[in-house]
Amino acid sequence: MNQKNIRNFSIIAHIDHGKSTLADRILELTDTVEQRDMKSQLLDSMDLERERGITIKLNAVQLKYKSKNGEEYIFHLIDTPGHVDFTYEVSRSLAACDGAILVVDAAQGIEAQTLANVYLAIDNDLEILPVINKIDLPSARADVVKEEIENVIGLDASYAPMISAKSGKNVEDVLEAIVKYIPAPKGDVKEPLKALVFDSLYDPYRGIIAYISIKEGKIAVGDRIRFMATGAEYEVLEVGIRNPKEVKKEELVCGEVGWISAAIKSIKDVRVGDTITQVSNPAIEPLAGYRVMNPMVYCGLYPIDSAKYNDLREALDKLQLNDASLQFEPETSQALGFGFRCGFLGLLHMDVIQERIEREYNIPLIATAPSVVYHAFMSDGSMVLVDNPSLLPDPQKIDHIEEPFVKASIMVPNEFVGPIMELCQKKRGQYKDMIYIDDTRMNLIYELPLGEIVFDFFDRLKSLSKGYASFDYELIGYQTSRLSKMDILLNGEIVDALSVIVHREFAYPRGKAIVEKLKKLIPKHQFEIPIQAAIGGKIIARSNIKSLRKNVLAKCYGGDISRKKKLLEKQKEGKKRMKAVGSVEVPQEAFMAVLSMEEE
Amino acid sequence: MADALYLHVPFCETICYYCDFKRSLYQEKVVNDWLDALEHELDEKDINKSLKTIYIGGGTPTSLNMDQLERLLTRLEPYTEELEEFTIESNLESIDAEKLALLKRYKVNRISLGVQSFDDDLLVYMNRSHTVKDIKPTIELVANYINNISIDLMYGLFSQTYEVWEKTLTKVVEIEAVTHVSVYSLTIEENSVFYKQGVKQIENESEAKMYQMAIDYLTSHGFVQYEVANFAKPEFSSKHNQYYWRYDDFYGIGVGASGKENHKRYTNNFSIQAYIEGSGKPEIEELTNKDEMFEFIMMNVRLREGLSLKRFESLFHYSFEDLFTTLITKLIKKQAAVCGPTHFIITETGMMYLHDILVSFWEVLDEREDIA
Repeated sequence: MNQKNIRNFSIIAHIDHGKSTLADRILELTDTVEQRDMKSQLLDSMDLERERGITIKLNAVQLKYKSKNGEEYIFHLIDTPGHVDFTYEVSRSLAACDGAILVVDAAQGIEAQTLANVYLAIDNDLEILPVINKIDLPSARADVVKEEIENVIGLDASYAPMISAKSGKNVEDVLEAIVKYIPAPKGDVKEPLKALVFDSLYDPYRGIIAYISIKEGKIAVGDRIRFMATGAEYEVLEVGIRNPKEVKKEELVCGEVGWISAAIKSIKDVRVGDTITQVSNPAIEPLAGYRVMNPMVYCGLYPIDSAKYNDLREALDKLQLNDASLQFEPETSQALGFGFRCGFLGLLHMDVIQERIEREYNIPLIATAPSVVYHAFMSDGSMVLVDNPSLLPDPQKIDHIEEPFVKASIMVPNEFVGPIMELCQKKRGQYKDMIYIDDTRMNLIYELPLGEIVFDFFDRLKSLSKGYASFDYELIGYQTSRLSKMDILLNGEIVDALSVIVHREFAYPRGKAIVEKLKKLIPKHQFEIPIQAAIGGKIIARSNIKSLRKNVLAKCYGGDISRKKKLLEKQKEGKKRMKAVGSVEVPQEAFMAVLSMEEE
Repeated sequence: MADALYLHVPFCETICYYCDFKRSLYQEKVVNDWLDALEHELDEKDINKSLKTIYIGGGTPTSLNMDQLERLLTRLEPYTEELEEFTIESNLESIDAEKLALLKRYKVNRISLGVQSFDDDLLVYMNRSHTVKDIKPTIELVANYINNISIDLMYGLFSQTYEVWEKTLTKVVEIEAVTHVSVYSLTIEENSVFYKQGVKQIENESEAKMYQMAIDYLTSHGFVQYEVANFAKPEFSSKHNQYYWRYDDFYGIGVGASGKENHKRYTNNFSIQAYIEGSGKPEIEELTNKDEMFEFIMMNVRLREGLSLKRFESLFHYSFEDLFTTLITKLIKKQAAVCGPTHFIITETGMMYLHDILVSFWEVLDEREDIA
């Protein structure tokens, strides 16, 4: 195939704006997938992704399209994850492309996440092709949305296809527009190899499979290759494309997008964003944009049944094979026993991993509340990284503590601006700017401590705006804050897994909220349980769980046995979700109670 | 073959707000059709002719008119040869001298009366039709015909004070003819009017206190607590109910009834209409060895006499003490149980946490893969 007839592109969209549906339609129209093989939203291959309607892993598919101009084209559709946690991955998969289809919902308009991804695409010099989707909706306001695209992003939307991905209406226009507006890949097949790694997955038989976009030169079976950032060298065993089934080929050339296998055992050698080159004829410079990803959010994961510790290690090992951004190391909690401190790119990433462990590996977990990484500067000038609040050094030896801050962009309809600003204030946000998007919506810019966002910020934002606000953030660095460790005591004992780092001015209401929440979540026991919140030995909030004096004794005759048994079975199942902390049975949810900011 | 038979009469003149049993307002025609269906069920079923106990519950069995009641009793007559106890449930307003004479003629020798409370406000709140002044005269009338009189009392009602509960207990022991008392804490069941009204369960501390008051008061006034919720004067404990608690088989007859025979439990959980048309299918539960072990424990520990170690072993071929060594030791240490040479008994302290204890037994059984 002639390089000028190749088009490499991604679809970018806010969640629910129809990205996956459009991808399905494109696959159908290009006869890539037979109707009978068509599971809806084929690109999202994991069950969990399907269920949550989000895309976690990237995927690349080769499609053939015969244009109305009579020529045949090869499209590479590169899927991008749709969440703020995966910004870097999104930027790398965009870097694998030359253009991006920007899908905007005709009823919803531009959202914060759309904007964030558009800027990533612009940063990567992509040609952006706006598409207005869901034009069949009664609430569609395509003209307003077009204007928004022009005003807010500064893109000419006059030629944007107006489609309904759901019904398939006008989707062909999108394919024609891809041919017409998205440029063919640049690069020269005669140059030394430069292949961008934009994703990887683990195959138990072949090791790591790397997904690559060939920017210069070519790669063939038998080539000796080097990953330029990690320095790892391998011999290529297989190359190929997906359509979406795997198809082996002899070589991939400049402009093509596909995969390679090389018996790579360690995910650490295959970093997203790295450049592959030939050992014999290496490129001088790698492709720009490679970064080492550091986890932003940490939490402790503990098996409820301590006998499952080794199973949990195995599960994490396996998940890590596919996910270099997941980090973990063993940790011990007095309250929870043996577990792992795990680092994630963000909250969604954390949720997804937890759910996969529980669901795919069948290991019920206790997760401690997420924490960011604090920098504790000691009086002797040294600095300690703290990703577990209970491990914060003795405050008397600390000079000051710094915490990560983000710049948050929140798009919100005018009528909710007040409550959202109040929320940001409560979350220790510093107001930076307010930009009018159109007559009805604004973009609020705040600097916020990341540690406050990992508490219930996103949920609060959604509920305060009836679901209309959208939100995106980027890390802007560390700042000094007046922070202290708050301990929670159950029955007089500190439960290390419940410790949390709080801002001193917010400590009292936070302590009170946590104590009250725990009181609601922990079932009554046969004895009274005091719950206390303490900072440096000083109790700042307290409550009591009264003792249980009586189980429902009620009557029990012949006809009541089944019902009684069901009741007991429920109690038995509930007990399985509890962890014994000392003599107190604590339910799983309680360990997340420290997230509560409700000051009821 | 089972020695006990429960027959459910799903009709009432009014619906009490706490009730979730299968019940329907009395309509003469429906009751007649129901009697046809009942007779048909008894004809079809192979029932032990030498039953030891029969219990007619409801609903309100005495809501049937004289003819209907006689028809029902006549149909049961063939099973009454060796009967030791024949109980019928009744409320205060549907019983009179005529019906009592009829019951006596057909060997009914025990009556369970839904007295519930000696407080008129509470009776109204529960939608009972009688008033406090009806209680004593009715019981005295009943005593002319039947000498074993049980009454039901309810506690744990939202507006019930300790004083009101105490008054009820006082009044009960004053009535000489009462031989048996069942005390029930209000549970808000899903099919009850209270549930639909959004009535809430009271704090369990108050409930526990009222329960303790009942134990203290009744046991110091000539009653023996022989089961969690049941108190009797000597020789008057319910024979029929002990078949349940000892986990024996029993027949369940009629729509709304449940029975257990030969490792199967069946529940006639269908509509009265379906019963009359003969189209109702009972829910059947096949009981595994493990199910039966657990249910045996769940029922037997409710008895003050406790769980018979010998019976457990003869039924299941496992030694109860060996099977639960660790748990039993733990419970004894917490003073929640005692284990004598013949019986395992939950103490009064343990009774307060009966559910927790039962769940612990179940967990031990769950771990045993050798028991199916």
